[in-house]
Amino acid sequence: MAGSPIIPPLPDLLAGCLRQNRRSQELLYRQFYGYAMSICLRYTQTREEAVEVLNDGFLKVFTRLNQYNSEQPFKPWLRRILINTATDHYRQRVQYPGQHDLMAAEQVSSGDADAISSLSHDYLLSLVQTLTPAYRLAFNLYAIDGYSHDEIAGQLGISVGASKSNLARAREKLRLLLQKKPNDEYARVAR
Amino acid sequence: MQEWPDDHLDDLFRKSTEEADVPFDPMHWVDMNNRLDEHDRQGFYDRWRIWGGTAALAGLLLITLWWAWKITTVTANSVAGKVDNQAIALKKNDDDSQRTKRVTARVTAISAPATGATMPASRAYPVTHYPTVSRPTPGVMNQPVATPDWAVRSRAAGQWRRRATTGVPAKTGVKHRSMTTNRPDDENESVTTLNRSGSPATKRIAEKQRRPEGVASRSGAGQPAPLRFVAEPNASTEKTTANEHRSDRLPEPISSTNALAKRSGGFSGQPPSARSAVGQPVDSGTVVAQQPAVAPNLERPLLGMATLISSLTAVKTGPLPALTEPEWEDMDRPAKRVVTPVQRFSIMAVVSPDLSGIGLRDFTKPGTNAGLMVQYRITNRFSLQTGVLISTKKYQTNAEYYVWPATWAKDPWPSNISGTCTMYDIPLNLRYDWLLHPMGDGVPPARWFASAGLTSYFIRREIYTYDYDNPTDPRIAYRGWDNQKAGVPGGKFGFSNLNVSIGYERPMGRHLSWQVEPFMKIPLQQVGFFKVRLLSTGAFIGLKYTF
Repeated sequence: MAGSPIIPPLPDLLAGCLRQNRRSQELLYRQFYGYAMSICLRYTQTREEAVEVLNDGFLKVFTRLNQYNSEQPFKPWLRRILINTATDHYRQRVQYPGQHDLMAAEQVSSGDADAISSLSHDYLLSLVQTLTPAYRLAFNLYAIDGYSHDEIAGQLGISVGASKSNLARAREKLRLLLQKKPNDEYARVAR
Repeated sequence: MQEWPDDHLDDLFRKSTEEADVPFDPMHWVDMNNRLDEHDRQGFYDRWRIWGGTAALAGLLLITLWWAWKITTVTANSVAGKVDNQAIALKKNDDDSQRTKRVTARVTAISAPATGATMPASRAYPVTHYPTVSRPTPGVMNQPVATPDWAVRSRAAGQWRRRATTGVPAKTGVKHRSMTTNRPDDENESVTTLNRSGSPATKRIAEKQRRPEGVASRSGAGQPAPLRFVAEPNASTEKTTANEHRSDRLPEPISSTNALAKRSGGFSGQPPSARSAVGQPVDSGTVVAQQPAVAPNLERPLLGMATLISSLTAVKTGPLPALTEPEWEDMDRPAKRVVTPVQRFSIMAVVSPDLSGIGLRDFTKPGTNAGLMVQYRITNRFSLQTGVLISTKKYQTNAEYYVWPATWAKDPWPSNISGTCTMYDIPLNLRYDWLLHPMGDGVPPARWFASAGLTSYFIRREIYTYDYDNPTDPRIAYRGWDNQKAGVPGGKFGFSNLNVSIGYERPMGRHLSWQVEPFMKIPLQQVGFFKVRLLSTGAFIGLKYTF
């Protein structure tokens, strides 16, 4: 296919990246772009923010690749780096746009008309992105990426209780958004 | 209404993430590529900054040490060939012996005719002295000459004054203590093969025959000129040794040419024209003024880091709706980034050992420096520093490095002098932070810095203790000197030393930091009652509060 380069095996790519070979870096970036971007989108509110986290994370990958143990799978290592980058990004945020998040959630939930059973990834992602950063991180880390509350508390610098509370409130908000969707749909049809 | 238990809710979102398929966007790689380029550039700058800066500082340190060594040693421009027996006594100590081995003046005696006829030095054999490091010549004694010119002149001045008061006529002409001659001088005193361990009688004879070379050329016929030095024009510049005294210190102008007759010897490193101007003070600031105040100038762009930080802290704003979030807990809110305000003023308590000496030698047990410094940050990297230090400097060195008051008669002369000076040290420094290590939000960065400036000494008390070769000598009249006991106020010496230092400062919080700062204070002028060129070094340890 035109424009789709032949990607060499992962060990060769990593070896090229260790030599700071720009072509190898590009191919590695291309190969794991979708996987990495899906993680970053979950942890951020906007696509631009996700790209920022993505490239920050890949910069760490390229500059610290010598710390990678080649006997271990690469994807978990990459995911770990991206999640850490996202949490760093969260800690460095200045503003806390929670109210804006809720408004966006309202708009998203009332705009889609598909059945819940066929909820698309993009739609669910949009719901997650409407959460406040603290809730979003707690939900992503615990529910999707399998972190424990102790790990979350340590990573975000909060208490375990706060982590549990954030998770509970995140779930509560997601339920509210999911339940609001059929109601909105019913109201639209009734009109 | 559909219920969403926790497990179902989590599974729903977990599965959706597994289905995620985000198409590649080439523009994102362009951004990544730019970041990699920037990282490579930054890496180059970092390496250059670290190694280049280290090399520059090492070079600066070497230059500083060389300069300090150069300006704190005294030029060997003494009156050649005129070493009196008093100087011989002073040279008995080991230190002097080593020094005199390195610097000798080759003296060739003019063989007087068998008849003992006297040849006027000013006519047939103009006296020309050059320091040489040469093999001994038959009939000529390698004359160890280590007494600096200023010391010669100082002592000569004292001798002249004593003569003036006692009415003893001064002699003119040139005489060298190390020679073989059968020609009597004008006082019918025959000098025969004087050596360093000559008897007092021969010392007196030699002393009577001593002449300043500048005077010798003016002395008329009939003045004794028992010998002359071999004229080696090239030797005047190439024979300077490492321990030559380059100082041009001259305690006071000597009006009489006879002043030089008292104290002979020393180096002969100056050309004849310079020696002919004996008695004229030489500009002591010439050497110092020509030395550039080297400061590292290591510009370090942090554009990449600034870009990264600004991108990470970019504020994403949007229209705030009227809808309010009902339940916010403070614990949910992320800690707001602490923006460190510009902190310009600092106050710092410092303490340091003080190793002082006349040049880079003879360091004794350390004194202390302690005081308060204030700092004003001009830019992120440049700062001005000043303060007050109470400094106690202890040093010990050979007596010849002290400039004695001309009216003091020291017979015998002390061989070593130990000094303890208490003073206020007021520095004025410009500091450049050449390497910054970020320490996190709200905390100032750790800094590697270099500083240079000038310091002024305001001496409160000077205590000197004299050491003699023969402490039981009954002629010893003075064992030391104390300015307070003598009723002499301490001196004020503005901008007397050049400060050079490098250091590392590490924050302990937003306002508090500690630092360590090795320093060197290089003399620019003579200080103290005895006008010594005092070099000090040490390492400040400071606790700084910035507000």
